[in-house]
Amino acid sequence: MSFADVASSGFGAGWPLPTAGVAPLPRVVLRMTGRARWYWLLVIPFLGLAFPALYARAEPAVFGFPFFYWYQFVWLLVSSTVTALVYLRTR
Amino acid sequence: MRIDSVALAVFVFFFAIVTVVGFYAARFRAGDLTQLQEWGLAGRRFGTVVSWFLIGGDLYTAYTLIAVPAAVYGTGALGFFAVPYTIVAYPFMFAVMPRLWNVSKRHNFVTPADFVHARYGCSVLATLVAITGLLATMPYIALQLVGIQVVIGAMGVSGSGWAGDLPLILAFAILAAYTYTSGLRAPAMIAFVKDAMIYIVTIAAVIAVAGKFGGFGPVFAAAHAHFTAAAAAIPKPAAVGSVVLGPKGYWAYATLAFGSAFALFLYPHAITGLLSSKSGEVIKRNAILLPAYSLLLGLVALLGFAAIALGVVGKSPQFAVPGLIIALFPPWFVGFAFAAIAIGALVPAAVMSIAAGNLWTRNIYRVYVRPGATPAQESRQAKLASLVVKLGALVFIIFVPTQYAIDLQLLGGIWMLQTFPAIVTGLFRRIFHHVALIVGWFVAMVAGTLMSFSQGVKPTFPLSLGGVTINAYIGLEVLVLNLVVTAILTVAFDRMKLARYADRTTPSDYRSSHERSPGVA
Repeated sequence: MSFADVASSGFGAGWPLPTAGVAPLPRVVLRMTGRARWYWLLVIPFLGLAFPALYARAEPAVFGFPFFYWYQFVWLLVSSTVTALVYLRTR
Repeated sequence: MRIDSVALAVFVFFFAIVTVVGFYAARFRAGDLTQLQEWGLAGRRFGTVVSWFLIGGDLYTAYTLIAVPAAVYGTGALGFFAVPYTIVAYPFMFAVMPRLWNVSKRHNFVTPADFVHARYGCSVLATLVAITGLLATMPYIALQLVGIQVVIGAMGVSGSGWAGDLPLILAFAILAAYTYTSGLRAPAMIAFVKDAMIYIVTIAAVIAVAGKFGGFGPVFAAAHAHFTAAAAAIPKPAAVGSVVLGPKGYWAYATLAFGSAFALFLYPHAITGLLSSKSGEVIKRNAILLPAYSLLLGLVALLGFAAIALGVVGKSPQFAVPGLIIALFPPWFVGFAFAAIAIGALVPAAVMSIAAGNLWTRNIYRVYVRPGATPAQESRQAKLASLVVKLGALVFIIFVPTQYAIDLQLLGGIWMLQTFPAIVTGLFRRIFHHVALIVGWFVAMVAGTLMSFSQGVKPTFPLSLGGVTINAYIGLEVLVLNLVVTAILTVAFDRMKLARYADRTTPSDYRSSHERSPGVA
């Protein structure tokens, strides 16, 4: 399998399970692909924290915590919840 | 500073408990410790709860508990990057690491380099991955000693020459002894004690700080006033920290967080912790449950601001948390809290030395010194190597200024990240050519090290791209370089028909057993 083959097959096609070059097991692969889509939800916490320009501010403060800090604490919960959702949906 | 006998007595008491636990641990889910799988991975038998304590205790080190609040104390918001770092690390772990567990169980891999060897069929690439791990782990162990040193110093225990280092040497001799006899079971059991103590200390400190100031609002206000005054006092105010991250820190903040998250599960000690669990399922559950430690870390980080508000002044920012604890609590609790931090160093130090022992044995000794070594010989080598590594860290910390250990640890993160293409992409598909991976790794290691040195061993480097200057984490900058070089060379080598070696793994090896059998819903 060359790099070009993989690139054209698309990284997302069967992510996170390899489909290119796998012996044909159509039913199984199909089922996996459907479930594997849930894994894309794991990108959400990265998006929520990737742009400090959006959350590096003091107001509104909550219980004396500047926005910058409580926003990130909230993402802690969101991240864990999203991961739990993916776990339950792909189990 | 004088020695407080109450604090010292409580400290020694808890250290003694942990020592007993460490030796007793050999009988915990007992296995044949002359086998490397048993000594170095505890037989891959840990369930969700034990793994939660072990991995949590392994990743949140004593140095984290000292250095993260120290960074917040010194630079403000930028030091808080450790929190988004540990938030995004777990979704990454969920998506990637069960695959490593599955393939490792299937082929009896003990180290990430074992996997790379089987996947790419190239022993040179595997050795490079192992050496990167060893290089990054040794200063990390040394930093655990710094954590112990800081609290011993804060209790007022001091002396000149050898006498001054005696408590540290003693603590490490004990650690070395029970790691040797009990293997990975020792830190797993001690982690229960450690984590309980750390949770108690952190919650107590947060409540005490909130009580003293009437909430966290005044703490942030005091820190803001402190940084504003500091900025007014010097001609280049951009160099001073702030309570809310300034625009100049945006790139650094996000790239340090994400780069560190990608590097975390490449570290040998993190992988050793993960592979000791009994299934990929356990790893997934822990990806949901481990963020509880990140909450703790976030609160500990904010203690850096509390130290500013309390007016804690020490000879280095690392004194921020010990100073805060002395200012807030009675001596007996100071002893308890310092014991928590010191024991917090023992768990990761033990796992790191075991991981280093595994790497040495499986990927250097077994490949170059004694091919075909028996499991018993492997186990013996790993035990000896773990002793040598710890001794090396001890000598390093006693004879070399602490700053070098911190600098090396920082470089270690940059280096570790350069094994990402071989390990992480390799867990999904064998996209890259093994020779391309070797060249990419080499280019990135050299570039990353030079970039870091050019900034006086700092983690960030200002890159100018088309008139825009981005000051970002070097580890991530050179990872991009690494991936570009590896991709281009892979295309070139495949065109040139440069042979690839056989892949000893198959796609189904990466799935769990129930995913492998069709028809199971």
